[in-house]
Amino acid sequence: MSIIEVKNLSKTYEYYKKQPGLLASIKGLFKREKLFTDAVKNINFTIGEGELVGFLGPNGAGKTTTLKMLSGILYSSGGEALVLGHVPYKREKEYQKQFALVMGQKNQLWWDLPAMESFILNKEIYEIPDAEFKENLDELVELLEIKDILDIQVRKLSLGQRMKCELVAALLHKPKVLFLDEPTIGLDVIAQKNIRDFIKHYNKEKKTTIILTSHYMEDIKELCKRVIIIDRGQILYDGQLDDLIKKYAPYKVLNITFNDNGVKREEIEKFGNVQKYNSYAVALEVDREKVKEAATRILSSNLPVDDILIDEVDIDEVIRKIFRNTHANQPV
Amino acid sequence: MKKYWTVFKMSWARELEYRFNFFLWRLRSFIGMTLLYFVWFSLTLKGKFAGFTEAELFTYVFGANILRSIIFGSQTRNIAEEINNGWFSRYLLMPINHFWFEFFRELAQRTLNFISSIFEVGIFILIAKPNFILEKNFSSLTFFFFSIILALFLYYLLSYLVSLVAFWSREAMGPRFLFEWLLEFSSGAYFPLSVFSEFLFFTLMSLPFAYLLYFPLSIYLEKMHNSELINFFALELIWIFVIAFITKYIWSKGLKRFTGEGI
Repeated sequence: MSIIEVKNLSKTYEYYKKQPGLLASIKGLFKREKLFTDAVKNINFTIGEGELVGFLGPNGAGKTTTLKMLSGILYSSGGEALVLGHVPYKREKEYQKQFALVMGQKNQLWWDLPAMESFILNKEIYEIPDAEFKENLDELVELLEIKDILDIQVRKLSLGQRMKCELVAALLHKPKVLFLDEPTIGLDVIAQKNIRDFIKHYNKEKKTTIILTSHYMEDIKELCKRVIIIDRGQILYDGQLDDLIKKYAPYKVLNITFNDNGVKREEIEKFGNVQKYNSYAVALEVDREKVKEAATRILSSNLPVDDILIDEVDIDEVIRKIFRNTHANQPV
Repeated sequence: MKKYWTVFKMSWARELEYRFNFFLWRLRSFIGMTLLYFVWFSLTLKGKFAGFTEAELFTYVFGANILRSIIFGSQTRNIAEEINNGWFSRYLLMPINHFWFEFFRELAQRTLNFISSIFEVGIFILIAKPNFILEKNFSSLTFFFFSIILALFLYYLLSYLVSLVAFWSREAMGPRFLFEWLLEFSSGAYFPLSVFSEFLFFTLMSLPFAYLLYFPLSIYLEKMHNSELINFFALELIWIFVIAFITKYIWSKGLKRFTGEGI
């Protein structure tokens, strides 16, 4: 069953041209040139129940714009979106009670009051019965280990603690769909891992459908089986993360270390495409089908091999490659 | 309804977090009242001024101070700011009505200010022992109370509408200042509007601002005939409906333009 259906969804922003300088600013008071930019162009995808899908793309790719349209903050300029059978921009109460959006860069908690106050407000806003509220809150507080900070003003919390409280506030009404926009931005490595583990656990336990955007590849690798890659408002890839690697990286990497006198570049080049080279450590790209054979050949050659490892290509590398290719093909 | 009551309580708590700010805000209002008191004190040394006795004018000054604290709010300034910085988005996600949500935030602030202003006026009266009028007529008090409720709605609608300019402009503070200046002058915050010529008086009475302070206070001071009272009440209600309609229209137009910049 599909929970989110997006058909030919588009969003065009209007803006005014702004020239630098005082004179241009004064001119701008009288005459301004209106410009349009397509933030999202005819995108299509569907997401099923309980899926955790990663949205990938550089800044300004259209990830957040898409999330804003799916959550009803923005009207679309064309196409349609259906989430849980609702048209988001109509902002129907039944829909609003079934989803949540968490933004790493903006919070919904009241800055000057303890997080607990905001939780109570959300209880009333989402009309959560007392018993259910208590149960959910206890569970979330325990999972995120934030019992001690509930009565401290939000402004005094660390970024990591705040993000945990944000998650609690967003999940108290047990949303069926969760949009997470950069939930780990700015957090230290440990806090990132905590949040990541929590999301993973929550998705598994509650079968909540989640769309996640992140700039941290760790988040995507850990959490998402499926990814949608967006660039300049268009979908470049929609599919399993594993397939992405197979499609864009039809090779594996042989990491070989040498001892004695090391090797010369010419000696190793015939086995595959050299990615990194120094006399004692070499990374070779080799076609997936031929990688075992190449490894055997290297081991049985008279090169002073110390160790050899067959590695999967790093996802960061694959993604960078995709963006590099598309940017090279499209004039800026 | 319970959600709005919770907003009300939380806004109280929030206001009390910033006690010094609140104190300064009230001090400003107290100084304003004291200044006006002495201006009127010297103007009425020779008896009546513009048809007002000394006691009536002093009552007007004290009444204006108390009414301002209930009716004139500052919460709606945040609306424009939140639209511009993208925070406004969070209200669009939740099953709440933004208009009423902000209204109860504003109301929390208003009640705190109201309590404080009662104390200020009380202390001032104890110290300066001025003449003033304590209205005892039940029907005048009923109309007075009713006119305050309407004024509260009217002010909120007007200031909410002005805040919505932020959907179109990054600079919503400009219109806001103009609005506040116009408000102070034409609501009768400094002097009773009846000091003006008849033409100017009726011009001001046909605008919505006069209903915020001058109208309730002149009911309290029994300066209105019954027939006038009914006409003015009718006009005030028409203004409320017209502005509510415009606000609703502007709101739906504005939302289509909203881009949630900054998030």
